[in-house]
Amino acid sequence: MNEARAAIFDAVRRALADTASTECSADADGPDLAGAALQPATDGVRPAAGGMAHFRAVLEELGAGFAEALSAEAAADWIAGALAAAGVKRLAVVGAPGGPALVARLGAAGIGLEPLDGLAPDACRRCLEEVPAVLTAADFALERTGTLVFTPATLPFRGAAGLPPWHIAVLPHARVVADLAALFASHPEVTRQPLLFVSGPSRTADIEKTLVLGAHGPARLDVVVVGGAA
Amino acid sequence: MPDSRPEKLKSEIRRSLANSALRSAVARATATTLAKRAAHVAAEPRWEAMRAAAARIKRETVAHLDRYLAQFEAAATAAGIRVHWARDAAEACHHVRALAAAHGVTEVVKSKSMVTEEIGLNAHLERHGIEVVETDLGEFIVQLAGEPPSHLTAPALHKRREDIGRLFAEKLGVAFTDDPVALTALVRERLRGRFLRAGLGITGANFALAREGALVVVENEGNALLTMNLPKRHVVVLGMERLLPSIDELPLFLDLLVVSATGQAFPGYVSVLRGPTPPDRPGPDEVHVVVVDNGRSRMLARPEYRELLHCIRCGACLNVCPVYRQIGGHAYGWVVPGPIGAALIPLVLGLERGRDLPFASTLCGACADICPVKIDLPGHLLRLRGDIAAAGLTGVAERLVVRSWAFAARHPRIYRALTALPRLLGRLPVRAWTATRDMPRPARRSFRRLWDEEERRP
Repeated sequence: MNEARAAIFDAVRRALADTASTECSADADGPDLAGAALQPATDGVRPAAGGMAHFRAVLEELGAGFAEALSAEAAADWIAGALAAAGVKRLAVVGAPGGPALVARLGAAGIGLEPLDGLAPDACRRCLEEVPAVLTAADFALERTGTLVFTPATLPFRGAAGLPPWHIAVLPHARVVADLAALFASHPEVTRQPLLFVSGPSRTADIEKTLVLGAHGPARLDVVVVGGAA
Repeated sequence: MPDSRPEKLKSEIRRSLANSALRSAVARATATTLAKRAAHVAAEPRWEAMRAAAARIKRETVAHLDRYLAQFEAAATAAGIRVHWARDAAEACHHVRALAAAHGVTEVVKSKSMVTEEIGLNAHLERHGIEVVETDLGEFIVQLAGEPPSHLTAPALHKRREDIGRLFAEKLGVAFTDDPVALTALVRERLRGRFLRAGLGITGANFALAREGALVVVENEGNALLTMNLPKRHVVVLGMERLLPSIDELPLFLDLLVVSATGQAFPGYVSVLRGPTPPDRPGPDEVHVVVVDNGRSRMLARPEYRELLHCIRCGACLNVCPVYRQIGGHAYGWVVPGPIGAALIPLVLGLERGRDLPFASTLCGACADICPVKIDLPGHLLRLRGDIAAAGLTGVAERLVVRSWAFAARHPRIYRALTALPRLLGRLPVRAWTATRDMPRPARRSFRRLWDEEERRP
């Protein structure tokens, strides 16, 4: 392995030896991008944030559902209603989306909750294979693209967003930001973590460009934003 | 290199042109994607500024590739990712097979990756008794059909729904249907058990972030998400030019990639991987990355072609190319088709094997106009034509014609006599060209004569 590594670095350095000094703007020692000339021109690129209405419109265009709830209890009622309408009685739960009150109210509504926290890895996987729906908490959402953002703090097992056929994600209203560049700028700690971005249900257009939802992951995604008006 | 056959370009073109179903499938699919892309670009007033910024960043990264590779390796290793280096396809395949063998893995799941196609990974693993299941729907279809992908982002773009229905009926023993929903559901059901059983998941990466040592995987179906997170081990095969300096550049490159590739605002799933999962959580407890050279350093050594390493494999140049849209991807005879393939193939496989490819272009410039990182593809194709001619690899007839023209151009009287010929004949003697096209009759008086008359006018 070391032999291959040395050979590759040697080949690359020899290849660049003649031209690096004339082609690059950075100094020879560091990886610094040397100033604004090379920074991505994303500031001001985005259209003005269109608010929650825009977020909702984008999600619906992606085939996802959207609900705004004033409180955790109202969010729980919406989720319980949606589950009941679909005849779903079991729900895997990652963490405590929307807080303990939301989860408790779902339990009180007769939903069979399957908390994943504390389960051994294999048991967690098995549970997610079997349940018809999973409830998660998203860390953030990107308004422009209808994207949910997860870190290991809220989604320790990324597969939870891909295994059950229905994914319901809850997040506070204050966590909806304009777009990815705005997220990285306003919450730089996010850039230091593993990330998963989810935009709409799983989909494919590999057969004659016909859009089909639920290719491998959830065919249904609902986003519940809590606390907007407050 | 698996089943490369760019030498057969001309016969493959004839075959493709005779296949009206292929041509209509490719035309429909590419037109759909182009229309969606155009809508997004029209709504983005800074699109050109974004392209220019991306081109600068790629130029900077490639010009300092050694430094960014070392930085990536150090950060990835610190995060618990095991980094392997492969000079060529054989070494890359060996690394993956060794990992599988070390854990007694006989079944792997894989998500779409052009570099694994390039190194012939599937065939290598299968030869060593390891079953590989492609999990992207398009890749699953072409794997079942025993074909290579025909497009960078839509592997089965050349197939009609009825072709796929018949393929599934024949190979999977299911009742025929040409309903995309039913066909997709069938694949989902078939593959779910495979994800859960596989001992190893293999993916590519759209970007590797040098500062963070992170890998970025972009997809829509969720198959890569499952491939990366259900098996106990995950291997990323990475073309070494896929680096970006840091996560700061990711928003820009995601925008450009996804709009250019599929006409979406954002992909269904983007995973930013930063190492194995802690043991108390489900997920891979080993993450490996195989960094592949396989000719890239040779291309790097040619400054005039280095820009080709900026490609982010969005496939937009294929969609817009009037040649690709007529002949599809398989005619090119290598894993990367279209204008980018026509430029890469002679450089990767050699001028002799790829000598026809740079001529499979109208040089209309559409590929350069659409490229999100502003690669001057027509310029590279033109330069390659010069290299091929200089190497004496053009046909005898072509060399004769060009030399005759050069001679005539140096002798004005002969040149005038020759240019008068079509006017005397009333047409040009190019039957192959006029068999399917109208050739306008030559003007009665040449431009030169008109000009002379104009000059003499008092």
